[in-house]
Order: sequence, then structure tokens, then C-alpha cells
Amino acid sequence: MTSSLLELNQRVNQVFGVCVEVQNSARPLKELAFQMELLARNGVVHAAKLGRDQGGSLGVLTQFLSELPSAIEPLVADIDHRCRKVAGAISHCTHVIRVYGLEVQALLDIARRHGLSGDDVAFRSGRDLSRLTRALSRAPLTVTERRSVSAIAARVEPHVQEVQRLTHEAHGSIQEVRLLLDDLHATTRTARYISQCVRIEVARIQGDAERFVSFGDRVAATVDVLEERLTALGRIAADGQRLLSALERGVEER
Amino acid sequence: MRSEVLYESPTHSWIVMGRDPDKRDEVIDTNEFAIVTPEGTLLPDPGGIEIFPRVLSELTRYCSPEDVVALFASHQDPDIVSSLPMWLDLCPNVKTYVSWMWTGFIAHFAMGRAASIIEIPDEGMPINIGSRVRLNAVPAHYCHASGNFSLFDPASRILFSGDVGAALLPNSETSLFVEDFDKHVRYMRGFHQRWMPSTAALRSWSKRVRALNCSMICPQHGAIFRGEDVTRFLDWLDALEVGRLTWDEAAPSKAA
Repeated sequence: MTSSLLELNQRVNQVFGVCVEVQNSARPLKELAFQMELLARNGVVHAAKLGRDQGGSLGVLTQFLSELPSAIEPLVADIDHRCRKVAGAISHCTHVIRVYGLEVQALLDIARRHGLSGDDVAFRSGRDLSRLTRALSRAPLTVTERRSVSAIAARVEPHVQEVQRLTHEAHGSIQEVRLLLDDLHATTRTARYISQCVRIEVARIQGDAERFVSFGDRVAATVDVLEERLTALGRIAADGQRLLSALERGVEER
Repeated sequence: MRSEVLYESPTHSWIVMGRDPDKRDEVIDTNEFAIVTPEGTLLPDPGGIEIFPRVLSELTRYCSPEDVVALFASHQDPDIVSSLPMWLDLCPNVKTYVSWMWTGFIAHFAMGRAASIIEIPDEGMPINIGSRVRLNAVPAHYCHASGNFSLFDPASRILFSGDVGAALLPNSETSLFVEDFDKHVRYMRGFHQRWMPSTAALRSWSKRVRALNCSMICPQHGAIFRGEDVTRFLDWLDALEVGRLTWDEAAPSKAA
């Protein structure tokens, strides 16, 4: 393959790596959400023990908190699904680039045989290919070689379009992943807010407050971890999006 | 990559392509052949994916890729036919002939493309290219794969022998033909002793091939036997014991 196409392939493979990283980082979020749910359910029980006067508002807050994790699970599943979609498009894209690269290499070999050089061509667009075939059409090719160049070029052109289509598809999916991560962030922000409300309510309790202080701290700590993971995930997804934007520009504009 | 016309007649020609100077050192050198007819081209052992661009570009001197109507795989190895997806991409209607044993195996090379794979039965079969060229798949089982075929052209009397007669040549040996048989033996012995599992199978193949009165024997690696070297090669093969694992003799690098 030409060095330009090898570079293109390497960058496409980087996107694949990003997908795997997002999937691997997103899966433990379910576990964290489950931990939060357990904590919240525990809080509901304790609030009930305090009775209506002291535990009423705490009961409502912890009940609300216990329902939040169920909003996280479908979002994580959706992220996983989109990442698999990007990874599928990217692995197909790698294969198409490989086939395309080998066919372009054959055209370049024919060009070199006739003293033409295609080393300066990036071959990332239909225009690049046209440049080479135009140069070949002016070279003293035999009738068989001319037929061959037309036949090979006719097969190569759809591969360029396919690479463009796949990178575009992957780009769309990674954008959706970022939106889903935003939704997850919103959910964790709500969880943090409620855990703060729990702490405020705990300050009013007389007697068994210690148990709830520790409950509020543990919820806050779980939310901290969740947010930390989500921020890291957001960074990885943004990297993937930047890579795909660059790829799309590289494939379409060069 | 170099190429030469081995045989030419109004009905068809045999082309050999090989000794690729741009090939990476770790890729075993292979000879590619093309049987070009006005009604289509057959490629015996079209080669590995690694060398596909150079085979394709060299082939365009003799025919267009859209003329390729058939591939013949002597067996299932990657250096034989891992370029299959590329040929399927260029010529979606190409037929691939291979031993019945390997149809499901080489389908793994197709990379999602529909491949028209034709099973060759153990006893062999005729393979036509258009209406005027009729080739024969000659059984070569256990030489070296358990389902293995040579390809004989009765008109030119050229036999494509796959791995039988193969030699691991140093880069200094640039001729497409065997020039000094006695010297050439050193490049063949190790290969045959290790890659051929059965002396009985080789004897059986040699007997069948002697009866064909070949003008040339064209292996997929090494150099082509022509003229008296055909008989010399068959005599040498008949005296060779293979499939006996003696480590000193087995390593082809030592033999070469």
C-alpha cells in the first residue's frame, strides 16, 4: 500500500481502539449504578425506621435516589451498542482500505513501468484516482494495458466512496455516544444534588443521624467515581470524534 | 516482477511471472502462471495477497483482469490462493477450482465475497477455458497437501506442478529456468524431504507424470524444468525418500 493509505489505515485503526476503550470504560458504570441503588435502598429502609416525623423527607429522597440507577443502565447499553456499530464500520473500513490500497498499488506499478510516478498522490479521493488514470491515459500503454487500467479503476472508485460512507457512519455513531454520555452526566448531577439534600436533611435528625451521615458520604463517593469515569469517557469519545472528523476531511477534501 | 511467454499458439499462451525484486525478504518467492486464451484466462495458483499488486500489474501486459475467468488452486495454502478476495473483487464471476477437501477452507479467504468454488474430485477432472483449451487436473495427493492437484495442458504438454519440484532459491539465482540441474538439487532436496510427507505418493505422481511426456514442469517455487531436465527431475524424485524426519536434513535453510 502507499504510505498515505497506510497512514489512513493506521488512523482508522486508532478509532477502533477508541471504541474498545469506550466500551471497556462504560461497562463498569453499570456496576457503580448498582452499588448506588443498593445504598439508596438501604437508605429507604433506615428512613422508614426513623418514622414519619423525622424520616419522611429522607424517605422520599432516598426513594428517588434508588430509582436513578435504573436510568443509567439503558444509557450504558445504548453506548455499548453505538460503540459496536462504530467498531463494525471501522473494521469494514480497514478491509476496504486494504483492498483499495492493493488495487491502487497495481495501478501505480503499471504507471512506474511507463516512467510515471504516483508517489505524491494521497489516493484518498476520487480526484486523486482520476489524476493517476488521466496520467496513464496519456502514457504509451498497449491496448491490453488500457483495458486493464479501465477495469481496475472501475473497481477502485467505489472503494473510495465506501470508505467515505463508513467514516461518515462511524462519525455519526460516535456523536451519538457523546450525547449519551451527556445524558449520563445529567443523571449523576441529579444523584449528587440529592445526596447533598440527604446531608441537609440528616443535619435536622436527632439521634440516629450518624448512619445517614455515612450514607450521604458513600453516595457522594460513588457519584464522584461515576463522574470521574464519565469525564474520562468523554475525553476518549472526543478524541474519537476528532479522529473521525480529521479522517472525513482527509478522505473527502484531499 | 519478471515475466516470460513459455508457450504460444493460436489457441492459447502460457505466461510465467516471478523473481520479484521488490518482494519483502520474509515472503517466500513464488512463480505465478497465466494461461491466456481469447476466451478467457486461467491463473494456476494465483498467489498470496502480499504479492497481488505486482502479479496484477504484470498480468496486464498479457490480458485485462476482466478476462480472468478461472483460478486453479493446487492446494489450500496462503501463498497459493490467499489473493482470492482480490480476484473476486476484480472479477466477481471467476470460478475457482480446488480439491473437494479444501472448498470450505479456501472460502475463508473470500472475505465475505461470494466465491464460485468448483470441487475437483480425487480422480481429477478436465478444466476448460472457453471452447478450445482443455486442461486436466492431475491427482497429486500428499504431494504435499492431502488433497493436491497438478494441472496439465495436453496441447503444450506443460505441467503446472504446484509444490512438486519446488526449490528455495537464493536471491542470486535469478533464472526462471533450471540451468544446472546438479546444482539445483541442493535447493530442492530439503524442501521435498520436509514438505512432502509420502514417498509412495511421490512415486505414484512421478509415474503418472512420466506418462504425460511433459515438455516443461512448472513448480510454484523455484525454477522451471524443461527439455532433458524434466526426465532428470523425475529420476531424481524416484530416488528420493521423503517423510522421514531427520532434523539435520529437514531444515531447508541448511539444505539451501
